[in-house]
Amino acid sequence: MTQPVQAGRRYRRLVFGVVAVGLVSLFVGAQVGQYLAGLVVYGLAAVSAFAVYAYVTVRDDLAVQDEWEATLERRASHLTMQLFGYGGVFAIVALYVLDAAGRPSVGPTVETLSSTFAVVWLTWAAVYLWLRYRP
Amino acid sequence: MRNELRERREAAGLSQADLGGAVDVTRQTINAIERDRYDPSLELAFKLAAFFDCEVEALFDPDIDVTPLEDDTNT
Repeated sequence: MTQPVQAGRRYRRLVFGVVAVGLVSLFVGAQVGQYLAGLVVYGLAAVSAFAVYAYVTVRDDLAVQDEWEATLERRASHLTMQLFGYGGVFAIVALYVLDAAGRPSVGPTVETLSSTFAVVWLTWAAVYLWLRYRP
Repeated sequence: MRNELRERREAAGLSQADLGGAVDVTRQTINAIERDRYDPSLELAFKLAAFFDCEVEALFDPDIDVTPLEDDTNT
């Protein structure tokens, strides 16, 4: 049985705090020439956050968020996908058009970003289809 | 969706945290509902109505304009 949401919220804050520390470490490490150290801290933070989340939700069966917070996260994810979707399509098409027009702008980085973009949207489509047609 | 949550909560002398604890949501969720920034799920709406011992319609006004299905069971 799920326990009251207030009990799980402190774990939610802990997870967010750990992830924030990891991200700051990665950024600071890159800025001061200690990229590897920052990456290690980031990795440890990510694994720790996942472990705490899994422990809380699976073992303790605690709700770490209520319906409003879940709705906010869904809307944030939706808006982020829209932002990257519309912005990304426009940017990538523009870069390829420029490239075709004789202004080389499609290098390996752009090609990698295009592939990543396509993979993200294919994954989104697969998840959508699964959600829609699952038995 | 307009609602009378704030009026009923204050009339009962409860804080947002008190009400949130009673229906198992956060104080922030109660605040979002009171400010018409979030429409609660059916489950939460019924919980709130049950807590205040009233009908859901007395607590929430969806302000909808739908023509009801005609009652043709006697035809």
